[in-house]
Amino acid sequence: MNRRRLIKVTGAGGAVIALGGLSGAPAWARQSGGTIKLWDTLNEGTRKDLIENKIGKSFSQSHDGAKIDHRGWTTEDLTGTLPRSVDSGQGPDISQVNNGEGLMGPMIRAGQLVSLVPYVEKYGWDTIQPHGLLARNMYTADGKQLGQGQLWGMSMEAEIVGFYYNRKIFKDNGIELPKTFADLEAAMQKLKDAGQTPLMFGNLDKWPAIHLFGDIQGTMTTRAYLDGLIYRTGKESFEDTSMIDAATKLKEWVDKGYLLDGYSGVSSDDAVSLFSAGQGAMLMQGSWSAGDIEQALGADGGFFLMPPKETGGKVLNVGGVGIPYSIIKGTKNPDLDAELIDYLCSDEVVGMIVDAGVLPARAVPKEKIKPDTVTGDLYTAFSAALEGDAIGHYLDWASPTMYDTLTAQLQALLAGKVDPKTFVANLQADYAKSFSS
Amino acid sequence: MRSPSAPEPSAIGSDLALGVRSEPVTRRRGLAGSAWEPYLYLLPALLIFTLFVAVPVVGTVGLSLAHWDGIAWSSASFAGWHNYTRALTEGEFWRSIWHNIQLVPFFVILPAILGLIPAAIVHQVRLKGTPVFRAGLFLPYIMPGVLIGVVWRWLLNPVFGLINSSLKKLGFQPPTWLGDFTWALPTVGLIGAWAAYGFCFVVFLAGMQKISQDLYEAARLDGANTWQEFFAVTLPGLRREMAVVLSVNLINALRAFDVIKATTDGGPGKQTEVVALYMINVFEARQVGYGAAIAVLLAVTTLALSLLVLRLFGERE
Amino acid sequence: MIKRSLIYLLLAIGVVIAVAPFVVTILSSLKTSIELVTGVFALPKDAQWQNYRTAWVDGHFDRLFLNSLVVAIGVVVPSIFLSAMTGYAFARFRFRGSNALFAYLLFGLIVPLQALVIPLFYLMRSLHLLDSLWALILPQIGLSLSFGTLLMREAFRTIPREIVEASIVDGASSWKTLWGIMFPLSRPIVGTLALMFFIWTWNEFLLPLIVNIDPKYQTLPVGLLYFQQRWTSNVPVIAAGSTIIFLPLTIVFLLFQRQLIRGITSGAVKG
Repeated sequence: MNRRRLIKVTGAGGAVIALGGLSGAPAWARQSGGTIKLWDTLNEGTRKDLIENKIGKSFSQSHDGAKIDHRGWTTEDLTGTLPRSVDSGQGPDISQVNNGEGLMGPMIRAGQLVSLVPYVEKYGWDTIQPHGLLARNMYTADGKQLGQGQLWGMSMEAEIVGFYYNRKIFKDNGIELPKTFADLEAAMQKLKDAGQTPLMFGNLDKWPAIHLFGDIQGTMTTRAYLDGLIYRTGKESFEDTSMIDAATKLKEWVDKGYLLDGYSGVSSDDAVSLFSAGQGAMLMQGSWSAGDIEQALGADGGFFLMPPKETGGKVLNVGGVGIPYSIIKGTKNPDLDAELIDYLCSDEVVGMIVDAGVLPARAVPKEKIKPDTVTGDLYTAFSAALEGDAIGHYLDWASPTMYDTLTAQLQALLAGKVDPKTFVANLQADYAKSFSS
Repeated sequence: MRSPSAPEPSAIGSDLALGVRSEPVTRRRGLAGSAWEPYLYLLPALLIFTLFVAVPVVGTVGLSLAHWDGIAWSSASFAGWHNYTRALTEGEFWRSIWHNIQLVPFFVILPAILGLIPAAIVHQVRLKGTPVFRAGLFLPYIMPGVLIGVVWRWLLNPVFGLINSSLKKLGFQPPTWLGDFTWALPTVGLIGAWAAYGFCFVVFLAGMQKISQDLYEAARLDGANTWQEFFAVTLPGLRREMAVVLSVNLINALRAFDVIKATTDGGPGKQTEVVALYMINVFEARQVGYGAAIAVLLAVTTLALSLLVLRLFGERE
Repeated sequence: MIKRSLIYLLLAIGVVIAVAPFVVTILSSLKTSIELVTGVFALPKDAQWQNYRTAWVDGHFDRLFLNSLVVAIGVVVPSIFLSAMTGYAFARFRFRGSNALFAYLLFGLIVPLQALVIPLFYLMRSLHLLDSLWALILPQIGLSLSFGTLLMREAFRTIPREIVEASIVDGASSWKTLWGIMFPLSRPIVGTLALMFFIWTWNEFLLPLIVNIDPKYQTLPVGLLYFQQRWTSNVPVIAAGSTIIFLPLTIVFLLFQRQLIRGITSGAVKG
């Protein structure tokens, strides 16, 4: 569950978007020459302004007046439209292509993407982002194996999930920022005893539990295991002690009353609103909510990542990259396209992205960080996570049906309808089935 | 969606069920025109209908016989009956059907009762201001399902929602409703009943007003009391309205989607995953052929069950 | 008298239960998101009218509103026109295949839209109609015809035969008989039908989502969806958007509800 998925399920009739996704190709002619036809999901407000005005203008100035013909879509529309447009020869030159089997894999297999191999070498793309992020945009040349082989796209943005906290509630209850997982649990117990809601949480939308479970599991797992599982090497199984332990721990938190009373009937948006209204000491949510929370809580707001088991230990935080930009088969000028992609990953653009309130896929420059604010905490924590290659995965990536299975199973786990062992076995059943079909 | 969610598709009913009764206004053919005249009247409508409804239906049936990931046509392959046997042998499809069946009392029977009783009272007492009540009660029926879902989510919110805060004040320990494994499906059902009872009320009241006063007077002469009158005169007189209400509500129960998507999205667990929602999830997993097969099965089931209801309640002419 | 008051009270409760959620939506649309979580029926401290501004301007509800209106009229008027023609053909003429053709048209009542959207998309593409208001209007006319044909046939069949025959004796063509006599006599049903078509078209959600990618050609419900994607945690603005959608619907309904009810009473149900 990442932001893109989040948007889908919170959308009023999110469901039909799947069908909306199968929609398509407007019949306008392909342009060529000095104009790059660019499709992405920067479709509103500051993000649209960012790509069309700021990035577009400065790219044009530095590249002989090359123009960007930009079109912003919703993620689902783009995901559905793109392959069909390309199939009928009406595609763009560059497009965001949803990671993994959502779109990138099928498009590579259908021969719709241009290999980035020569450009990776020319621009050194494999060195500007940590391997953990790059791997999400990698596939073998035949498009069969995710997370290995060559790069097929580069991401401009990133996202990470962590704890927003209310400094005032922490201070009033004499709680320090937790350094270890045990500190965190002690803090929640203390808050609980003081009659506070330790963790603001709402799971009516089904997906927030993926974040919570994933972050707990991230303190108990290894990179090799988690990458293997998500990139579907076929060697890993959900039936792993880290999964069972994380499930047990999550259920323990529920039973101890650390989560908001009535969480199962509260939507994610309502949980954010409740936390913004000063209720609840902590809130687990993605980086995309930082702006809203900073605005609501001001100096009382802060952010930290899931603390490790032991001091100095490593956590694989739930998070990922924005949808990568790929070059589409049929483009007239792939070299110019590559120039633009390189520019999107440059220091110059990173600065613009941060100013627009978006998390870049690279470390945030120090001068952009305002200490002791929600975003300041977030940027610092994120930069550290990048450096330590500590960004894990969204577990629902594991198979095409895993989102449905995982969300349903987590709700059942939280409600005590399945025990951790059965829970993990059910996830594995879905996972195993996805290999056979 | 045209029709089922719409009030009074009325005579669809008996026509489909009892075979089409044709009783032309003029029995003599070609009184004011020639033999091809009726076809000219039908032509534009048939063209539009065929192109934009019938052809896509055939397309869906075709897709249901294919494996396709929805990416490029070249990746599609013929699947035979595979998608159908899969739906009928895997548990998921039956589980989602079972959820629809469990919704039937809420979507079909409850709103019919909730509409019938006030309609009978209003009819009996001959109240003033009926149009105001009628308009108010009918309002939910014209609203988009998505909106209804969003609004009920707020009302049922366990932390600040109206319903639970009231219940807590009264000393109850209410569940989380939409998030509760036991309560989620009945809660969704009650929302459906809420959205439909005003429609039932309006249809029943309209039907009652058409029952001949002579019948009531005859009943009174026979010494019937209010209750007996209701069962002996009113209820039998509503046969056709009953068929309309039940078949429309039944179709709604089978196609339930918007409200559930906007409230629980099928959760908790899979407790409220109805067929339409299951179908959408299948499409999302890029199994277009399988999704199309479920669409076909859903359409066929809808047809069969609505015909059954109309046979049971339709007029015997 | 006491009995009467009691009945009024019960009915009033019924109406309140039916209407309350919409009142809640309007109330929510005037709150801040923080006020929202403090109580559903609590009044906002200061009415946040800018939520409507945000919806109208940033959400482009102005353009969406116009699109919705154009599509609604573009569907309702031709659908009525065509339904009257088909209903007339079935009610007035006896011809080979009439039963089969009638059943064929009624088939549209049973098919769920979900079952035809994917092929519909490809069809629209081959007709070069994607990303246009035509892509919304034409299929919705097609889908309206089933119900329209059924209802208009019923309406025309209830018109006394003598009236029609008198017209024919006067030498009127069947076309003139239809528009000069039959159609005006069926005004209540036409009103009902127009209202139903309007409501369906106004609320239609799936179709625009699929055939129109360009937000320029979207209608209000899909606009609300886009909107929700952008303001995920700003419920009051979503509530404002919702209000913009259901208020016109409510007004149209209240204005014409007598018409609607009369239509149901006079023909639709009893046929």
